Amino acid sequence: MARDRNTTEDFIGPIRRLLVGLLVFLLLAVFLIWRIDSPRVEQFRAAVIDRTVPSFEWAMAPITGLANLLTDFQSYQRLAEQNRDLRRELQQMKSWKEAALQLEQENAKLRDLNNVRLDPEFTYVTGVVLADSGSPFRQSVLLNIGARDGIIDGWPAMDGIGLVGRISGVGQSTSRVVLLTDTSSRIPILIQPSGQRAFLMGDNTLNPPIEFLENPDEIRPGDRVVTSGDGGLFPADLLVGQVALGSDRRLRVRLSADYQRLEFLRVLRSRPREAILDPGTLLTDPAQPDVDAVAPVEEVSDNG
Amino acid sequence: MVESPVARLWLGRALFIGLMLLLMFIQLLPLQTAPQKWAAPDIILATTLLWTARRPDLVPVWSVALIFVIADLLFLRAPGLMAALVVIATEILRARAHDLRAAPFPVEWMTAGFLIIGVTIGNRAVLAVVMTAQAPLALTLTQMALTIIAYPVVAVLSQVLFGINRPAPGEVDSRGQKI
Repeated sequence: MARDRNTTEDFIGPIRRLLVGLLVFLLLAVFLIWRIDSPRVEQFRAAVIDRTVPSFEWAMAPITGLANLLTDFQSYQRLAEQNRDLRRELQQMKSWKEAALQLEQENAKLRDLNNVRLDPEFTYVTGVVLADSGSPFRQSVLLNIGARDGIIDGWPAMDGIGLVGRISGVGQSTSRVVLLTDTSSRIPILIQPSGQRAFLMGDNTLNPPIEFLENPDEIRPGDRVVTSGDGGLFPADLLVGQVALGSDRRLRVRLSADYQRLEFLRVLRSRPREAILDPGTLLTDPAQPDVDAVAPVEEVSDNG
Repeated sequence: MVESPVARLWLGRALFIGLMLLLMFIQLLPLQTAPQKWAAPDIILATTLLWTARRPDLVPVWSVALIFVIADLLFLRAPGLMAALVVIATEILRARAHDLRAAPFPVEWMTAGFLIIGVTIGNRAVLAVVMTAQAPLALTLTQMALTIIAYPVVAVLSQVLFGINRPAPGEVDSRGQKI
């Protein structure tokens, strides 16, 4: 096979090979820098995403809307069936509603008796989901609110009902929410009737498993799971979901938030709890500040 | 069609980059926020390999590097690693592109398949060496298998939509040279 290109390739070949080698070396260097100094490169990544993704918003919104319309349309086919189910559910709900109303009145009375005040500092910022992680291995979404809206790393994000994830990575006008289902997500939780503390470990499935549970026998499927607020990571008592027994006999959490369709997320402004650092002047003599001598002080880290 | 050969060449290259950006954009759409049991095939990788095997002149190294660095950044992968591996893979494929053209399609498919396996395993191996958190193995394997299976589909679509066919031996390229 006579190839007159060969003659030119012999010139260019070695130089080209050198340049390609250099390119590969450069890319690997970027990777190594990322491994060594991850926060700075991640900042760069956040800046790139901050710059590029919102500019697609005009195209993303209609296409996403269209796709959702299609899935909605598919559900029309099962309309009659759904109607019947809904009616049955409504019947059940009516009885529940009665029960709830009674409980609400009772609850209000009890609150009145105790003079309980709910945390007035719970305010939130609502953001729209711009994009997901784009990869099946990472579970995160990008919101259209960022540092300019006062978002800070580590704040919890909820949909209307339950906890969805936590802010990790804030750009000027975007922020990333790592979902509870991501493999790197670990959330301290409290399982309610039994009051046991455990961790919710994301493992890339819809129902993350519960780990570090002291006594699994006291847990029953259907128990409420809320955040425990341990370590000052999250405010306590945010609804996460319900305990469910997985097909692999592991205790998992059926998340309350609707992960099938995350559209609007609330980011709670969670303030660090006040840390108790000194034993207080009433208990000890202020002249001798010997902290170790008194009862161990609950130390609350100031930030997650 | 009165385009000059050089314009056609650059049009093809721009088409490649535009197509890749479009695919990335589609992947970023927040359609599926619940985790899946299986991973969709990596169409970007399959398309890059296919175009490199068939029309290496339309897929210069710099565009491969550029596209995959952007993908690494957007898809929260380790930046640079996947790009480096894919550049190596396309270079291997580019060196064989001439011989592959004369070979039947299954040979091309197998070569691409081995490269996809190589890229996947290389990626995991390097991540393991530097002790980074890894994606679940089952997901990676399904994605790898599905990418290989998707290759012929990508081939048919590229041929129908963009005319990326396998040049017959002796065909001339845009500059009138044999390719």
